[in-house]
Amino acid sequence: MKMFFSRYLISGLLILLLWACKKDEVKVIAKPGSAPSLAATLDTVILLKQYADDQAIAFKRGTSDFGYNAVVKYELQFARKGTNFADKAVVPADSITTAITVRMLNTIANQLELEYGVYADIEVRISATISDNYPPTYSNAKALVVSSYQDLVEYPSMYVAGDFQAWTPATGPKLASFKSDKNYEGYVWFPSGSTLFKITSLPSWDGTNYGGTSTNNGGVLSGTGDNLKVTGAGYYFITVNLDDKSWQATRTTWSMIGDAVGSWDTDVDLTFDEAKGTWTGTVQMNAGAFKFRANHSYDINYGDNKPSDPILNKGGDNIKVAAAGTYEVTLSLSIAGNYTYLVKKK
Amino acid sequence: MKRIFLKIFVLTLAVSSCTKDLNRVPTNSSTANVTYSTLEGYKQVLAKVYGSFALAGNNGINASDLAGIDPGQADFLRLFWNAQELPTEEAACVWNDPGIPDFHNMNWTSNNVLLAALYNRSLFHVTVANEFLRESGDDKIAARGFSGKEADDIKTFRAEARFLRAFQYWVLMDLFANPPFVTEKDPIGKFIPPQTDRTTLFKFVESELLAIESVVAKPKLNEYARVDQAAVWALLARIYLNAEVYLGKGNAKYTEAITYSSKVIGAGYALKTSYQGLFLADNDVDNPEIILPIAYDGEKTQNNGGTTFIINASVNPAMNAAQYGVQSGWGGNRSTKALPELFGDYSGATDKRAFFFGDKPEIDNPAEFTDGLRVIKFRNKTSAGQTPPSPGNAFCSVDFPLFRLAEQYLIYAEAVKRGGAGGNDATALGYLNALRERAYGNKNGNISSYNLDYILDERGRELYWEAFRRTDLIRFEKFTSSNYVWPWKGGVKSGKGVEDFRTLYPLPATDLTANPTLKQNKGY
Amino acid sequence: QVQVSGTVTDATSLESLPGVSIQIKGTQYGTKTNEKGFYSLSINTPSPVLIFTFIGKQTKEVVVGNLHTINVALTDDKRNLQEAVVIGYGTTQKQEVTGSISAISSKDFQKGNIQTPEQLIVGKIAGVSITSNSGQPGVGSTIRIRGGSSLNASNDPLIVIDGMPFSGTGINGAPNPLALINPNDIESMTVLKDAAATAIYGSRASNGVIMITTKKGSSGSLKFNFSTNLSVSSIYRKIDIMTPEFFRKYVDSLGTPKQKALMGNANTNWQNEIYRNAVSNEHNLSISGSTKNMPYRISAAFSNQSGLLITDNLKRSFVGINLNPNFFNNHLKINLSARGSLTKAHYANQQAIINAVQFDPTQPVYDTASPFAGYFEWYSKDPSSGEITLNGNAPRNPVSLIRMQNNNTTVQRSYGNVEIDYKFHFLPELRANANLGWDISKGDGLNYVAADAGQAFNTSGQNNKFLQKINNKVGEFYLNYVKAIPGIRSNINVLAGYGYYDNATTNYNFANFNAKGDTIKGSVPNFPFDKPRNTLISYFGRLIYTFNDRYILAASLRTDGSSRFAPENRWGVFPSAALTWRVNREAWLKDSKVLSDLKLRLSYGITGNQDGIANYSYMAIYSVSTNASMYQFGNNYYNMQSPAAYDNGIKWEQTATWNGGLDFGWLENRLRGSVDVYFKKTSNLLNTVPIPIGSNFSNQILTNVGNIENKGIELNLGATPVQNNKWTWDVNFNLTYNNNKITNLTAVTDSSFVGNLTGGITGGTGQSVQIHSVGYNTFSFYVYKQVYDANGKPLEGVYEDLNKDGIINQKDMYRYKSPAPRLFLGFSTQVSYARWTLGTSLRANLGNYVYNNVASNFGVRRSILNPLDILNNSSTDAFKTNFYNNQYQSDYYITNASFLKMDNLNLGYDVGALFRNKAKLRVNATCQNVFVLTKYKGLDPEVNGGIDYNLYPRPRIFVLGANLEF
Repeated sequence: MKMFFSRYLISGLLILLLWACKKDEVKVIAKPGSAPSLAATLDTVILLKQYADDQAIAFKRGTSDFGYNAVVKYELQFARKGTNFADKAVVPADSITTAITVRMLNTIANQLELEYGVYADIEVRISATISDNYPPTYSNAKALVVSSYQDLVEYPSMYVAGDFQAWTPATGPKLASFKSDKNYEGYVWFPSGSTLFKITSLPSWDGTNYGGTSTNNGGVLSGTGDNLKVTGAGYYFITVNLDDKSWQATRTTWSMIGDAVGSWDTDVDLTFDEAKGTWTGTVQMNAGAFKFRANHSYDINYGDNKPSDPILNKGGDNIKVAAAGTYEVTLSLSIAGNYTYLVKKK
Repeated sequence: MKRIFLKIFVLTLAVSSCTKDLNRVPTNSSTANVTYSTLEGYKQVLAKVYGSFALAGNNGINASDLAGIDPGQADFLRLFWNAQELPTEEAACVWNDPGIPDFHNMNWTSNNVLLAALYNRSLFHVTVANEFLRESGDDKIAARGFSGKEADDIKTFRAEARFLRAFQYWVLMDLFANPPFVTEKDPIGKFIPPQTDRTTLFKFVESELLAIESVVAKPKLNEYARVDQAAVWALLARIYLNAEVYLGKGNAKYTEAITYSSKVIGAGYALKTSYQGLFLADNDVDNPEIILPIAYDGEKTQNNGGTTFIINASVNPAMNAAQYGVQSGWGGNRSTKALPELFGDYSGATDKRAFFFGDKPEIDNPAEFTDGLRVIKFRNKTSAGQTPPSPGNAFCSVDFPLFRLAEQYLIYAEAVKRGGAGGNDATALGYLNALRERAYGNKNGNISSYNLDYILDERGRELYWEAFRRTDLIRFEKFTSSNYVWPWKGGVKSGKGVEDFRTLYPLPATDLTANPTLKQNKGY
Repeated sequence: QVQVSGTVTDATSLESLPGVSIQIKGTQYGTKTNEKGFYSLSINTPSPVLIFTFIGKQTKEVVVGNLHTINVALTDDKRNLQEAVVIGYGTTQKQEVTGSISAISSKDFQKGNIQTPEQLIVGKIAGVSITSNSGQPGVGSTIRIRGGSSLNASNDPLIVIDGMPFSGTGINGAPNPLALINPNDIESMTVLKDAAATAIYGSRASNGVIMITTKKGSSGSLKFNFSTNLSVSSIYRKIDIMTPEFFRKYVDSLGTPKQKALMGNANTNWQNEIYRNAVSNEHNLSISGSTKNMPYRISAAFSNQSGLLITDNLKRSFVGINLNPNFFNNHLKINLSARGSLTKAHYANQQAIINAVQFDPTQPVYDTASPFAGYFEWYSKDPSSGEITLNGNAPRNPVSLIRMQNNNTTVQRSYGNVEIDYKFHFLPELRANANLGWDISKGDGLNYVAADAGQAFNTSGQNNKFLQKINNKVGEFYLNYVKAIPGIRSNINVLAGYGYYDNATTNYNFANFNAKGDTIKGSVPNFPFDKPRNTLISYFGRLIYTFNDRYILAASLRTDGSSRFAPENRWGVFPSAALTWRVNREAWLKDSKVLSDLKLRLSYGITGNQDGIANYSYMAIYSVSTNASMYQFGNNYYNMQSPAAYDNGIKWEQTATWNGGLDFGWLENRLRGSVDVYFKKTSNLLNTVPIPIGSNFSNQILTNVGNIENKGIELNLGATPVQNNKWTWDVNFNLTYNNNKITNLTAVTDSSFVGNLTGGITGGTGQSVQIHSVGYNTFSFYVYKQVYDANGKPLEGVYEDLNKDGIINQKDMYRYKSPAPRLFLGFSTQVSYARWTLGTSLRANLGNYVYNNVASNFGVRRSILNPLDILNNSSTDAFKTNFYNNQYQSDYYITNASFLKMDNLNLGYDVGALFRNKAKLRVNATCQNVFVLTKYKGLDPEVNGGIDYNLYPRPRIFVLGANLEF
């Protein structure tokens, strides 16, 4: 009797304990995702600004299976060919098909720093992720040829036509009115010791062709005046005020200043690249900030209020540099109103 | 022995007479007839009809008239503000509390607890107003022996209750479009309120407002924080301005918008000299601009919503919270950079309406409070820099402007541009420049012409964080559009467009269950 | 004719036994022993046999033969089926019981330092689950009989003490109303489980009934009983958090420079700072005896209990008196029972428990520079103005929370009843019984926090008082007629009665004050007091019909009227019926050697519920807002008058119960037991549900909608494997299986309705992890399905898309397990050898799941390296998940918390007679909460409601006790 009881008692307790500890839940375990497929409607795309809102290309993706009912985040990733997606631009690909407009693809091309207007090879792939903490899976990379455009802001313009460019307003440097008012400005390279020019209201001689008086590289405009004249070769900041009809050309040389390039007391000069119409320099930089300025003075200076695009802002915020290193700096002021810069680590 | 029997018999009788003991009544509550026996009683119920804007419930900060939501979040303004501001470029919140992230991500569902709470709050407010209306009909007033001035006062109260009900129906029309509809004619209890639709509701709100126009007090002649004619006109102007949204394209009422905004403008209200003064703790005094506020007081109207929420949520301890008159701040709401960018120079140096704090306009991490500029337009400080008293310094005394003159200027100008008759550009420019001059302190910001885009931007600059933006963006067809995006719109950093049906909020799933006659709004 | 005489004694205590009945077998003749245990009897039957019977003793038969002196020692009969069993409004013989009833008498109670009555029977009865709410001294328990049958009304059983039903209202200032009852005064506890047993209590019986019978005086000589014990409580398990060293490493490796700079230089184990080993003691004295026809018992007790949390203390004094006189030759009996208690408590601030988990271990307890009474707090100081800003989002120093709060309460309570029972002289089969009872109490207290304490710094301290008075009255009257009609082999027992119950509480309102005594603005009350009150009036009746000693039919009917319902819904009718077949009385089994008992029971009945809901919810009323909730018109502020939501049609919640049972005994009941199968269906649930907004003054209301079902099996087994002169070994085992299911929740069927969320957790505002939904257990967890990587690590924020629509939202939440165990097991055993006894009780719950809110709230990097400019410690779960953000609604945090606990291990030694037989001494040593086996990683797997957060640890207690009788 005693035996009977103790034996049953003990085995009963054991069974109980086992039951209490048995794992009774089936965990959902994620498996490595299967590679999604990717198809595109085109393999060569030429992007043109006038079609910015039209579809440029559409992608169709397959799905990726992570071994359970997953919510998978799909992304189209774009990168220059052969870079193994080291620097990539991404677009969410929530639906099976993702239509990309000309504008979007152009933004991507700009992000990938493709040269404008020429064919460039890029690669596209789909990445499928369930979490930042879990390895994504990718589709095969699909090759794509893209030609992009520079997205310039169009301002009301005037044209500088003169002996430095065979008196052709159509190809003359523009002056832009940012506020669509009577004030125009722009930067122009005058290569020779003295330059004669007119400022025209149209890209031809069919509009008002301003000449006028010229003293000390400035003066008063008139629609019937003599050619305007600037003395001294150089990179000029030209302003025109059609209210009081004044014009002024200020010669500028450009430099950087700030703790990122040394200190806020000493300028680091840039040199003018006549072929490209840009100011460039190879500059040693530290983590910090800098600004571009003309003639070692803050009268004309540029910063950046929106680091996500390359556009500069007059008197804007200091430009931040995250890491020290040698940088290629390019300052482009030659397209009126579209003043941009590029700081690239070597 | 017999005696014992007798005793038992008597006892049994005594016992059965005790059943009246089952009629127990509460000690400190009363019935309608007791409550409404005095004018004071009427006014106290009216205080509830108004107070339903300001307070979540009757019994301090931890009580709420409505269930399913924390009382601190259950008041009208906090919920309305979230629904109007968080899905726009003006505000984004770092908190992960249920319902909050859905707003800026624009992916709310019918299960969103905050939307349900707002819907419930608005309809509760309607129900309370209905109760007041049931008890304040001429027959009831007469039966309770009121006459003369007292009876007139009650009639005015009644008109105001109708205004408040119309206001909440406007809220429901604007946010939910097709809510259930109840009036004082419907019973309390086992009753299924029928659903109405936006068009019918518009007509109702309009007819109610027109009906009380002549009954409420003349402009500026009522007590502070109560409705006068100008408030009625102001709400009319507001619904007329949005008529094409409510009634569909082609049903514009811009002419009416001009008519009624002009009435308000001519009613004797004036811009307050100091823009900042509109949002300080003593904005209830010397304020010619506010037409109807929600009144708050740190001691007598304690709650964790309202301006207490607006101010605390935009401050954190690192900002030296005491400067804003709060304990330490809750660190929740801040702007996306699209708001400061409306100002260009958002330092406050030129346009003094720009009240921003912080140095990083860009939100890289949506959960990081210091990403994005904090808005410090509202402060729990008097113009003299004092913090008004409140227990533990926990509550704010800033009144919230539901209607102020500046909005009417903007309505007038917009209605003119949208083709309404009875107004002109020159007058509109005068109004707009009045706002600019106050903002700049001089004429440097004045404009000589304007277009509709200007109006939307200017509404942003003038009225930001005053719970207008969602409605405005919808009227300008920019709310869901992919052509007008702001950081984290739709939950992606660069912003994206969302489905058009999101211009309406869903009816809450809870009420769809409770009220099976309701049809859900399209898309949900 | 033979004259026989002798003395009857108790075989164990060797005391003489008065009142033993001695009968000559086969005749009507007999006698009783006197108060000395002596009897004498003259016999004139041939070859007589004497039968000695005494309640609780084994019956003995002695052949007289030629003896003249027959001294008999009676041994205890633990399995005496003749035991009287307490039922509603009466008692019955155990073998005639028709309902599902379990009784535990004092000798089977849990041993040790027992603070409250319900703890006496933990784990002893199938179908009864008793979970102490925490480790706080005197704290109450959650008692569930056959699972919960209600969602919003009460699930607590009705407590009846000496026939007087208690109201169940909590008393402010006391941890638990039952804590005001002295466990040492309790003789037995009986649990009524099925409707046949409970329906006589009608509307209050849906959750079962616990009947407590107190000790009465005996008719013997004056006796003193003194017992005392000394106990030491110690913390058994702490929450597993990072050590200071580890914490430093963590912050150093992952924190920003700013965060690293926040660390202090101390090494503080905050849990050690707030817990202690607590010493408690308890002394009981009782005096019992009998004067003339009046047995009496007077008892007094004092206990001083200290809690594990520093400063936590509860002192209680009890006095009690029972008088049981009878008159007119037992025709008139009066039972008077009166008890009083005085409790003084100092409550430690329990917020400290969770703060000790959270608080940065590198910070010191004390900081001389701190303006907060010298305790370290998270604050900042403006360098220029010197203005102090306490970080409102940080936890407060746990030690300061306790030390700086002085929260004291005093509760006085008196309860008791007078029962007058009259057996009619002209009709002895008819009894009239009147029972008048009272339960009055007064609680008051003061909670003082100094002005410089971190916890109330913003209001400059706190100085708040409360006062509450409770006055509950009971009056019951019934007539009972019992008649045997041998002619038709029938026996009838009829009862009809009336009851009146009135519960009134007065809550006094006070303003709040700061430490200096200044009034906190807005806190001045509008009314000096509030007096919630409810009343219940009942009529009841019962018939028990027994045929041929083996077929029993019992039926009862009760109707209750409640003040909580409108007149038209006020009255509820609650019938029951039961059948019992005593199978072993059948001729074909009568002579079985093996089978000693076999009984089949079947019952059905309806009970009601209205407890636990508000008093006036059917009325349309207006209430005035408080002075903190006023609205401004002009320059004046007005209190708001507002209507409240009401349901005019609110009515009784009803539970219908089916029960089938089998009682059996083998081998003279050395193996005995019972099995019950039950099915309970509750309908018209008192349920707070969403209502169409606009139809009432709220969006939800308490109304009658929905159904719940409980199904279960109960098994009780007892055995006495060994029983001889020296050894006795007893074993008891019980098992309960219970499963509940909600079968309806809405007035209109709506398949899309997911259910009502419940189970709020600590974390993001408004988060909950449980749900009541149709087709599932009540309080089912409602969570997302966590996805893990191949190493079993949960992937943060990754859940299974259960409805496969490509997004994770509420629609992917699923119902996962529930906090209610599927199986309860209880096991106790006792071995006696000579004067030694060794006993133990074990308990297991299987299939109960717990949500670890401690881990979900603190075990993430964002909590540790907190954006609010503080550092927090965390449970070590943080390393298992590596979560950055809280994932409150992941099923990861829900774990199987099945456990096996040894509640009790005790050793007793009977020293025996002292002082020349004047006194007897017993000593014992007990360990409570001996061990817990569980996979659950939190503090304690036994969590009421299934959400583990701020649990006061249950101590392990060592008790030494002595009992002296003289």
